[in-house]
Amino acid sequence: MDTSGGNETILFPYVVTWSLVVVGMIITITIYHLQKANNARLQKINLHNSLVADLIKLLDELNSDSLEFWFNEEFSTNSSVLEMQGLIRRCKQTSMITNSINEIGFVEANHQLNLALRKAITDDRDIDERPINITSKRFTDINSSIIALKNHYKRHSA
Amino acid sequence: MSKIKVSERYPCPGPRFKKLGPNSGEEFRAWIITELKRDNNLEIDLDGTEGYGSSFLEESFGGLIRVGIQPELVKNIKIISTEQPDLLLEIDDYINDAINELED
Repeated sequence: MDTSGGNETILFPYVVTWSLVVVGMIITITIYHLQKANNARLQKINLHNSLVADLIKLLDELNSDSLEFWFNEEFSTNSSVLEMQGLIRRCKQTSMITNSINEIGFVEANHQLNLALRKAITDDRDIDERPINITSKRFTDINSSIIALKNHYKRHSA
Repeated sequence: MSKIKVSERYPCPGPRFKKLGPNSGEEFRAWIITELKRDNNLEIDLDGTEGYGSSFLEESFGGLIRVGIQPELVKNIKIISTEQPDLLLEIDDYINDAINELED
Protein backbone atom coordinates (compact mmCIF):
# COMPACT_ATOMS: atom_id res chain seq x y z
CA MET A 1 0.00 0.00 0.00
CA ASP A 2 1.40 3.35 -1.02
CA THR A 3 1.08 5.87 1.83
CA SER A 4 3.65 8.44 0.57
CA GLY A 5 0.96 10.71 -0.92
CA GLY A 6 -0.79 10.79 2.45
CA ASN A 7 2.42 11.58 4.33
CA GLU A 8 3.17 14.43 1.94
CA THR A 9 -0.30 15.81 2.53
CA ILE A 10 0.25 15.69 6.30
CA LEU A 11 3.88 16.95 6.12
CA PHE A 12 3.20 19.99 3.91
CA PRO A 13 1.13 22.00 6.41
CA TYR A 14 3.73 21.23 9.11
CA VAL A 15 6.55 22.53 6.91
CA VAL A 16 4.59 25.68 6.12
CA THR A 17 3.66 26.23 9.77
CA TRP A 18 7.19 25.74 11.08
CA SER A 19 8.64 27.85 8.26
CA LEU A 20 6.29 30.67 9.22
CA VAL A 21 7.20 30.24 12.90
CA VAL A 22 10.94 30.44 12.07
CA VAL A 23 10.46 33.44 9.75
CA GLY A 24 8.34 35.11 12.44
CA MET A 25 11.02 34.48 15.04
CA ILE A 26 13.73 35.88 12.76
CA ILE A 27 11.64 38.99 12.09
CA THR A 28 10.90 39.44 15.83
CA ILE A 29 14.53 39.03 16.82
CA THR A 30 15.66 41.43 14.07
CA ILE A 31 13.09 44.05 15.13
CA TYR A 32 14.13 43.59 18.77
CA HIS A 33 17.80 44.16 17.94
CA LEU A 34 17.05 47.14 15.70
CA GLN A 35 14.86 48.65 18.41
CA LYS A 36 17.52 48.01 21.03
CA ALA A 37 20.20 49.64 18.87
CA ASN A 38 17.90 52.57 18.16
CA ASN A 39 17.11 53.04 21.87
CA ALA A 40 20.80 52.91 22.74
CA ARG A 41 21.51 55.52 20.06
CA LEU A 42 18.67 57.75 21.33
CA GLN A 43 20.02 57.43 24.87
CA LYS A 44 23.47 58.45 23.63
CA ILE A 45 21.99 61.42 21.75
CA ASN A 46 20.04 62.51 24.85
CA LEU A 47 23.12 62.22 27.05
CA HIS A 48 25.22 64.10 24.46
CA ASN A 49 22.65 66.91 24.20
CA SER A 50 22.26 67.14 27.96
CA LEU A 51 26.04 67.46 28.42
CA VAL A 52 26.26 70.02 25.61
CA ALA A 53 23.54 72.06 27.37
CA ASP A 54 25.56 71.89 30.62
CA LEU A 55 28.71 72.89 28.74
CA ILE A 56 27.09 75.89 27.07
CA LYS A 57 25.65 77.08 30.40
CA LEU A 58 29.06 76.74 32.03
CA LEU A 59 30.82 78.52 29.15
CA ASP A 60 28.34 81.41 29.28
CA GLU A 61 28.98 81.84 33.02
CA LEU A 62 32.70 81.54 32.51
CA ASN A 63 32.56 84.11 29.72
CA SER A 64 30.77 86.73 31.83
CA ASP A 65 32.76 86.08 35.00
CA SER A 66 36.16 86.03 33.31
CA LEU A 67 35.45 89.26 31.41
CA GLU A 68 34.28 90.85 34.63
CA PHE A 69 37.37 89.60 36.47
CA TRP A 70 39.84 90.89 33.88
CA PHE A 71 38.16 94.01 32.59
CA ASN A 72 35.74 95.39 35.17
CA GLU A 73 36.96 94.92 38.71
CA GLU A 74 39.49 96.90 40.65
CA PHE A 75 42.62 95.00 41.59
CA SER A 76 42.75 93.44 45.06
CA THR A 77 45.33 90.74 45.79
CA ASN A 78 43.20 88.59 48.10
CA SER A 79 40.02 88.65 46.09
CA SER A 80 41.92 88.11 42.85
CA VAL A 81 43.31 84.81 44.18
CA LEU A 82 39.87 83.62 45.29
CA GLU A 83 38.13 84.73 42.12
CA MET A 84 40.83 83.19 39.95
CA GLN A 85 40.39 79.93 41.85
CA GLY A 86 36.72 79.94 40.91
CA LEU A 87 37.58 80.49 37.25
CA ILE A 88 40.18 77.70 37.34
CA ARG A 89 37.66 75.30 38.90
CA ARG A 90 35.19 76.03 36.13
CA CYS A 91 37.85 75.58 33.45
CA LYS A 92 38.43 72.11 34.90
CA GLN A 93 34.68 71.40 34.88
CA THR A 94 34.67 72.42 31.22
CA SER A 95 37.44 69.91 30.45
CA MET A 96 35.61 67.16 32.32
CA ILE A 97 32.34 67.81 30.51
CA THR A 98 34.08 67.84 27.11
CA ASN A 99 35.81 64.55 28.06
CA SER A 100 32.42 62.99 28.80
CA ILE A 101 31.04 64.29 25.48
CA ASN A 102 34.08 62.92 23.62
CA GLU A 103 33.54 59.50 25.21
CA ILE A 104 29.99 59.33 23.83
CA GLY A 105 31.53 59.39 20.37
CA PHE A 106 29.65 61.95 18.25
CA VAL A 107 32.45 64.52 18.52
CA GLU A 108 36.17 64.04 18.12
CA ALA A 109 38.33 65.20 21.03
CA ASN A 110 40.18 68.48 20.49
CA HIS A 111 42.25 69.16 23.61
CA GLN A 112 43.67 72.34 22.09
CA LEU A 113 40.29 74.02 22.64
CA ASN A 114 40.39 73.43 26.42
CA LEU A 115 44.00 74.47 26.50
CA ALA A 116 43.23 77.75 24.69
CA LEU A 117 40.37 78.49 27.09
CA ARG A 118 42.49 77.90 30.19
CA LYS A 119 45.36 80.00 28.83
CA ALA A 120 43.06 82.88 27.88
CA ILE A 121 41.39 82.98 31.31
CA THR A 122 43.95 81.83 33.88
CA ASP A 123 47.31 83.16 32.70
CA ASP A 124 48.04 85.69 35.47
CA ARG A 125 51.00 87.49 33.87
CA ASP A 126 49.14 90.81 33.76
CA ILE A 127 47.11 90.31 36.94
CA ASP A 128 48.70 93.41 38.49
CA GLU A 129 47.30 95.49 35.64
CA ARG A 130 43.65 94.64 36.31
CA PRO A 131 41.30 96.00 35.10
CA ILE A 132 43.02 95.66 31.76
CA ASN A 133 42.05 97.52 28.64
CA ILE A 134 39.22 96.09 26.59
CA THR A 135 41.42 96.39 23.49
CA SER A 136 43.82 93.83 24.99
CA LYS A 137 44.43 90.53 23.18
CA ARG A 138 43.00 88.71 26.20
CA PHE A 139 39.51 90.00 25.38
CA THR A 140 39.67 88.41 21.92
CA ASP A 141 41.29 85.24 23.28
CA ILE A 142 38.61 84.66 25.91
CA ASN A 143 35.76 85.23 23.49
CA SER A 144 37.26 83.25 20.62
CA SER A 145 38.19 80.25 22.80
CA ILE A 146 34.63 80.10 24.14
CA ILE A 147 33.12 80.44 20.67
CA ALA A 148 35.45 77.71 19.37
CA LEU A 149 34.29 75.30 22.10
CA LYS A 150 30.63 76.12 21.42
CA ASN A 151 31.14 75.55 17.69
CA HIS A 152 32.88 72.23 18.29
CA TYR A 153 30.37 70.86 20.80
CA LYS A 154 26.93 71.22 19.27
CA ARG A 155 23.62 69.46 19.83
CA HIS A 156 23.15 66.23 17.91
CA SER A 157 19.85 65.57 16.11
CA ALA A 158 18.22 62.11 16.03
CA MET B 1 60.56 55.73 40.40
CA SER B 2 59.43 58.59 42.67
CA LYS B 3 55.81 59.65 42.52
CA ILE B 4 54.19 62.98 43.25
CA LYS B 5 50.45 63.09 43.74
CA VAL B 6 49.83 66.82 43.52
CA SER B 7 46.44 66.70 45.24
CA GLU B 8 47.98 65.30 48.42
CA ARG B 9 49.87 68.52 49.05
CA TYR B 10 48.05 71.01 46.83
CA PRO B 11 44.36 70.07 46.53
CA CYS B 12 43.78 73.60 45.34
CA PRO B 13 46.78 74.72 43.21
CA GLY B 14 47.24 78.47 43.36
CA PRO B 15 48.85 81.33 41.45
CA ARG B 16 52.24 81.63 39.74
CA PHE B 17 54.30 83.14 42.55
CA LYS B 18 54.42 82.69 46.34
CA LYS B 19 53.85 86.43 46.77
CA LEU B 20 50.47 86.14 44.99
CA GLY B 21 49.06 83.46 47.27
CA PRO B 22 49.39 79.97 48.74
CA ASN B 23 50.03 76.71 46.82
CA SER B 24 51.87 78.53 44.05
CA GLY B 25 53.58 77.10 41.00
CA GLU B 26 56.82 78.43 42.44
CA GLU B 27 56.39 76.25 45.57
CA PHE B 28 55.38 73.24 43.53
CA ARG B 29 58.48 73.65 41.34
CA ALA B 30 60.64 73.51 44.50
CA TRP B 31 58.95 70.23 45.44
CA ILE B 32 59.63 68.80 41.96
CA ILE B 33 63.29 69.82 42.22
CA THR B 34 63.62 68.13 45.64
CA GLU B 35 62.13 64.91 44.21
CA LEU B 36 64.31 65.10 41.08
CA LYS B 37 67.39 65.31 43.26
CA ARG B 38 66.32 62.06 44.92
CA ASP B 39 65.32 60.23 41.76
CA ASN B 40 65.67 61.14 38.08
CA ASN B 41 62.67 58.98 37.21
CA LEU B 42 59.78 61.04 38.46
CA GLU B 43 56.06 60.57 37.92
CA ILE B 44 53.62 63.40 38.57
CA ASP B 45 49.91 62.65 38.91
CA LEU B 46 47.86 65.79 38.30
CA ASP B 47 44.41 64.30 38.98
CA GLY B 48 42.26 65.01 42.00
CA THR B 49 42.83 68.74 42.44
CA GLU B 50 40.38 71.61 42.02
CA GLY B 51 42.08 72.48 38.73
CA TYR B 52 45.21 74.20 37.43
CA GLY B 53 45.73 77.71 36.22
CA SER B 54 48.02 78.18 33.21
CA SER B 55 50.36 80.31 35.31
CA PHE B 56 50.81 77.58 37.92
CA LEU B 57 51.72 75.11 35.16
CA GLU B 58 54.03 77.50 33.35
CA GLU B 59 55.91 78.48 36.49
CA SER B 60 56.20 74.87 37.63
CA PHE B 61 57.37 73.23 34.42
CA GLY B 62 58.70 76.06 32.24
CA GLY B 63 60.31 77.34 35.43
CA LEU B 64 62.27 74.10 35.85
CA ILE B 65 64.14 74.93 32.63
CA ARG B 66 64.68 78.56 33.66
CA VAL B 67 66.22 77.60 37.00
CA GLY B 68 68.70 75.37 35.22
CA ILE B 69 67.30 71.83 35.39
CA GLN B 70 68.54 69.87 32.36
CA PRO B 71 65.88 69.78 29.59
CA GLU B 72 66.35 65.99 29.20
CA LEU B 73 65.58 65.54 32.87
CA VAL B 74 62.46 67.71 32.66
CA LYS B 75 61.26 65.94 29.52
CA ASN B 76 61.81 62.61 31.25
CA ILE B 77 59.20 63.43 33.91
CA LYS B 78 56.16 61.23 33.39
CA ILE B 79 53.03 63.32 33.78
CA ILE B 80 49.62 61.72 34.27
CA SER B 81 46.21 63.33 33.90
CA THR B 82 43.15 61.29 33.05
CA GLU B 83 40.80 64.05 34.17
CA GLN B 84 42.31 66.76 31.94
CA PRO B 85 44.40 65.28 29.12
CA ASP B 86 44.77 68.82 27.70
CA LEU B 87 47.12 69.61 30.62
CA LEU B 88 49.78 67.35 29.12
CA LEU B 89 49.80 69.35 25.86
CA GLU B 90 49.98 72.61 27.75
CA ILE B 91 52.87 71.49 29.98
CA ASP B 92 54.73 70.23 26.93
CA ASP B 93 54.27 73.65 25.28
CA TYR B 94 55.66 75.43 28.35
CA ILE B 95 58.70 73.17 28.56
CA ASN B 96 59.44 73.61 24.84
CA ASP B 97 58.89 77.39 24.99
CA ALA B 98 61.29 77.66 27.93
CA ILE B 99 63.89 75.55 26.10
CA ASN B 100 63.53 77.76 22.99
CA GLU B 101 63.87 80.93 25.08
CA LEU B 102 67.00 79.50 26.65
CA GLU B 103 68.51 78.78 23.23
CA ASP B 104 67.67 82.26 21.81
